[in-house]
Amino acid sequence: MMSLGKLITLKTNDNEEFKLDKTVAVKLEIIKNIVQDVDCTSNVIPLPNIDGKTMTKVVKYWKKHSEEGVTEVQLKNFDQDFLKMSHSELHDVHLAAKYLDDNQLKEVIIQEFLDRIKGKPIEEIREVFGIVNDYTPEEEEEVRRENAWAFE
Amino acid sequence: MAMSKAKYLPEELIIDIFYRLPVKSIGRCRCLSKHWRNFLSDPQFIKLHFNLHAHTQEEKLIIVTWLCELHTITLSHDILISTKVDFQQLTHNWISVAGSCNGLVLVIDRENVQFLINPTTLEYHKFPVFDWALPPKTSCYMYGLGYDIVSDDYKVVSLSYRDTNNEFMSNTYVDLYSVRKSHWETLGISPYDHSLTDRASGVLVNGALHWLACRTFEYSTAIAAFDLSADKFLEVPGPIDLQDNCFMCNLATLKGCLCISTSLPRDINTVTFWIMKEYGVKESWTKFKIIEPSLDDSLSTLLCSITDDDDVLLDVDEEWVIYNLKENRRKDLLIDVNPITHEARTFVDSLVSPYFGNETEGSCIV
Repeated sequence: MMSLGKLITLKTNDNEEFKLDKTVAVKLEIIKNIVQDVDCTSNVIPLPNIDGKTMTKVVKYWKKHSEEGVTEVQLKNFDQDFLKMSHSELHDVHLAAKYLDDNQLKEVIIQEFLDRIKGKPIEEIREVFGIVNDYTPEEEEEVRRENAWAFE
Repeated sequence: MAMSKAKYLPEELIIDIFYRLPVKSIGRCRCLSKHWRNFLSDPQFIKLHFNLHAHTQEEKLIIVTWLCELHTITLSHDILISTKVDFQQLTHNWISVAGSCNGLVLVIDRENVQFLINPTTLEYHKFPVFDWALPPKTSCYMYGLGYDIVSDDYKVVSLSYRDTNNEFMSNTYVDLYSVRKSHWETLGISPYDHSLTDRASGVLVNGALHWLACRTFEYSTAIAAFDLSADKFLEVPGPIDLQDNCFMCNLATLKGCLCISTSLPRDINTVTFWIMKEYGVKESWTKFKIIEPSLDDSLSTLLCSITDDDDVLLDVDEEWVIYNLKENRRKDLLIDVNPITHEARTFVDSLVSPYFGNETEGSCIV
């Protein structure tokens, strides 16, 4: 790694290690707190709730978003590309962001879910969320009638 | 494959997403499943959803037309779109839009029957018949709608007095309706005389409904504030330089503050405003004027403010004019319906139910 700063090692639950520049890592509250507690240059920070595959994505996001001189347009393009993943992968990244207390990444994921259901028919929204339709056809007709104002 | 691991998104995440959805999308998502219908119709969800969106919602106007219909008007970008509020089960002759609060609107029909409606979800609640102290046909009724945060209840205040032209003091009766209890209650006689000021609906600021009224002991004008938590009238200090005889004045809200507006006969082309920047603080009343040649010597008052763009809706000799305070410019209001003047309120889209889940008469839409 081409960094001049100190490195921090994050270790996922499947024993994958991520060496991160300290200045990138301490932007996150949770890591900052751990760093303050232990001497991180020698210690490894375990991430028991995150697997390597997910962490690879998170680290990729962090690195891009802390790149020096990166433009708004570049970030926008990066995000667009970054978010091209399945619903469940997106969910995994959301869980990781939540564990790492990364509000920015959490918001990005929620916004992506919002975009995925925007203007979509009910059947597609059920698919995105994995919701099982437990209405009988009659019940569904009734609930649609009750909420007819929302379909105009 | 990862797909099988999290085929179902956790409820927590779905809930996070739902809180960010606009009102109409929530209505559609009630059709997802029984569980989500219950969750998205729950008063707690609705309340929190409203609080999260309250400050970013675009305000719309709701008006009564000469044909006694209710219309909503979307005001975005100088294009006005009017839509009839169509309750299929109700063919009432509306005469007044008497209040607006959290997406609920109080409307009155020709028979003096009160309805609380949600113009977005088209839910409505018809108030039960009440044994009024004064017969509605020969009396004047004024109303106000507000929310009492203490009892988490929507309340409607009714003020009524005999419709006579004599100069003698006239008692004003105060009645209070609790939406949560679906119940009218008589509160007795108001400490003010409300019969000498212009008939107006109560103006909601800071948990109280405000009317211009007369003190009964010296007959000077006061701002009477009905506190919706204490269920009684208090007095709010008025501006020092407001002339005592303010029968030509009008109360409204401007940017969330209580505001008095008037066009004095001697000030041609001018509307004068007093705005109470800090609620209840006499010294915070701030005066400003707008001068617009086309106003001439018309009697102009503020009907309501349309907060986002510094636009205010003025009633200029019973014609509506939109005036932009920032650009100091008049905009003409071209709508395809003829509104009854004085009967305009702003409201926002919300999911708030006008009957708190109490299944009473007229509470169902279908």
